[in-house]
Amino acid sequence: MLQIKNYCMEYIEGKRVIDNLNLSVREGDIYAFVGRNGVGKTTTIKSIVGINHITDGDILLDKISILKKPIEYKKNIAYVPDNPILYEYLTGIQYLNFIADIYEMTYKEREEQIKKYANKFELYNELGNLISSYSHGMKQKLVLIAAFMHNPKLYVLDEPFVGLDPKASFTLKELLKEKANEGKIIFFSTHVLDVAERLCNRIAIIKDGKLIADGDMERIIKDKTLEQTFMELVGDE
Amino acid sequence: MNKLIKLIYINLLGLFDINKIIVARSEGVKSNLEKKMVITVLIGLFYGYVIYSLFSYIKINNSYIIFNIGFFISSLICMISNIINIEPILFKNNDNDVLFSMPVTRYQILLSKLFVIYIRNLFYVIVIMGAILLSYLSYGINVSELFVLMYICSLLIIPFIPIVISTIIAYLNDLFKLKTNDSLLFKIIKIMIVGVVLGGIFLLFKDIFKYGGNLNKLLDIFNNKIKLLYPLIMIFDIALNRGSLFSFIILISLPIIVIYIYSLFITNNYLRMCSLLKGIKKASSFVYKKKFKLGQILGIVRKELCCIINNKVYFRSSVVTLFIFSIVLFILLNVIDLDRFKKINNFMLYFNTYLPMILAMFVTLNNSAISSFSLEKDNIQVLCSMPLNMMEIILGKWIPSILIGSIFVIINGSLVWFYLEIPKWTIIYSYVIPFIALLFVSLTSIVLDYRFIEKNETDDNVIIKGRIISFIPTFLAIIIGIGPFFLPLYGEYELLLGGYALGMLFLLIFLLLYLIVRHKKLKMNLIN
Repeated sequence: MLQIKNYCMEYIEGKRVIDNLNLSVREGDIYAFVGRNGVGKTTTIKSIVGINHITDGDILLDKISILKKPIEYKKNIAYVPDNPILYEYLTGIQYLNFIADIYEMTYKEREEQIKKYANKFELYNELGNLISSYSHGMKQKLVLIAAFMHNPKLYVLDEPFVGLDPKASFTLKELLKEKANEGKIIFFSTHVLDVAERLCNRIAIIKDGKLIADGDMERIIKDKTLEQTFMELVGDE
Repeated sequence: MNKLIKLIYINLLGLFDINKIIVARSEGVKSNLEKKMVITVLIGLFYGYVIYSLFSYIKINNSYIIFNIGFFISSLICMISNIINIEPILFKNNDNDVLFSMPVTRYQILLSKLFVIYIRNLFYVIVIMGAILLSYLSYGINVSELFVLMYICSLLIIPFIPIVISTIIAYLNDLFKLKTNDSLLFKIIKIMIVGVVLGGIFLLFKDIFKYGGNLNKLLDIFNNKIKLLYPLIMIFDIALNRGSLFSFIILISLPIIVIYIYSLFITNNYLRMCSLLKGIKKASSFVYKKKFKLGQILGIVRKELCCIINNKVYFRSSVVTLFIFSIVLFILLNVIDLDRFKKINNFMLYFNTYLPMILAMFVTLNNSAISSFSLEKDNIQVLCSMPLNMMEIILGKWIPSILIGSIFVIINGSLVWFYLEIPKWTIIYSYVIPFIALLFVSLTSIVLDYRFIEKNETDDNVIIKGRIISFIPTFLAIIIGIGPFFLPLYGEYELLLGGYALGMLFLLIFLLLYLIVRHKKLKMNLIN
């Protein structure tokens, strides 16, 4: 279970970007984290994966605290950033091997997983090329392969569908459902409310650094669409 | 014309980070533009002073020769710089896509980019040829106004031809790569061409072994060879040194004609060449090769080494530079006849004391963190999300510097051991001191980078800091190599060198302790 307890985040003293955020994500949940631009989605995600410091509160994964045991915590997560950040002067396979080394995968495991996910995302034949020659979509696929291959407990994805072609988007959705059925935790932010509505079983809506809705998708949207619910809750600003 | 001027202006903004300074100034940050320009100029003057001192120190009979040598060196430096920069600036720049879609001609786009490359080349030429002229004047020779005028006009010509040759090389290289699909045949051809170039360099310098002791004879032979190799130098020699106005006119007009023909050809084919070169990639077939599991630190090391090897520009500027230093050492060891100097009082004491320090300088002069944090850019955030602590990341970045530098420590130490008859302690210190200096300078570079890396690059204070910080390891290397020359010498040079090594080790330990103590706060600065 992922637990975010009384999480607060300040970039400048006195100015809270995120104020007292509390939420829990269970095993098997596909959890959508939505909100307008600049409300703190990426900030929250970066704190969950250990990039940003936490001003107050704590974040726990299966009771392992990110503040007290950061290395052990991070062994069980995979992070897909909103912009595929990669080493331009590595080839695809060199990058994947690097990730495999960091997550201490055996050579047999890495071979199986790389082949499996690279074929799923149809990137296998491009793995020998430099990342600098990849298009945006190919880079996004590579980051996704790197995230899936070490099979973590928690997947944190920041707008993962941006740049993916329709087939890759479909593949990603299927993989996320598969992982959720295996008991993994999927936590992702997206602007595509349609996808969130169909894919996710739980949702959180954030506004101005505060959680304004959190819970099961059916309970939150009732008999409306997610888009309608979102517009009602977030309002005209 | 207006559009051309605007394009040139845009390209010039990218030169020396001028645009970042202007943006910072517009945001109300106190401008350090003057400081930045002064630092750049001071660095240029420093290099110019070194050249001036070198030629003033070497009193050669025929002082005209130094002009030809200066012409050759400045052309060579422009060529090396252009071979690295031409392709990314002219053909593979990301702004090409946007520019081609705009209502500007290809000629205007090309000219604006070439102009900036020319300005950069001109900066190198002015530094070198300016120093050469001052050195020439130190011989006590008066020069006429006509000579100065002809000299200045000649300087304006030098940057042209390297641009043309570099473009041809870059285009042919990429065309062949595309046609042969980067096959083994293409690689063999490239190796053969490199072999021919190295052979040419050997032929150029082979007489060093024969006439090592006779500098004037050597320079005469070198002068004749470079005139054959690069005929423009011959025309320059006749024009300036013999005062031939006709030769001067040819000197000026020949490059202009060449650049005109070049610009016509390139303009007509620019779009095609850019598209062609962008399309170059390996055929999409991949075969998985088994890779053994490495630990986390070694995984980072492997990643860093792959980045260095795959990034040709960085590889050339780091590893190839170290290789060149070793070649220079090899040549010096063949030229210098130590026996002639042994008659000088205390010469061997000086030699045994300073040799390890000079070797240390060779290995550390260009070692400013082969793997630096600045190169990570946004990847540092992703690294922070991985199960790695900052000490592991630092170690993973430090080890490649040590590995690559150590290869050259061994090469240089072995050259000294093979060629010179020196005491065993000098041999031992020829390995030990450069190695410790390598550890110290590379870690200093990483720590400075780590401490001062800033995400917000529009702050011009950061830009100034960045430029100063990148030179600190170089200055450290110079101090390590030359600093001891100012210390008093002792007969027991073994103890002095031992103390020197220990001193650097203590500084190294101090740096490590600093990292251990401050790593949490440093990490906060790094990602926030």
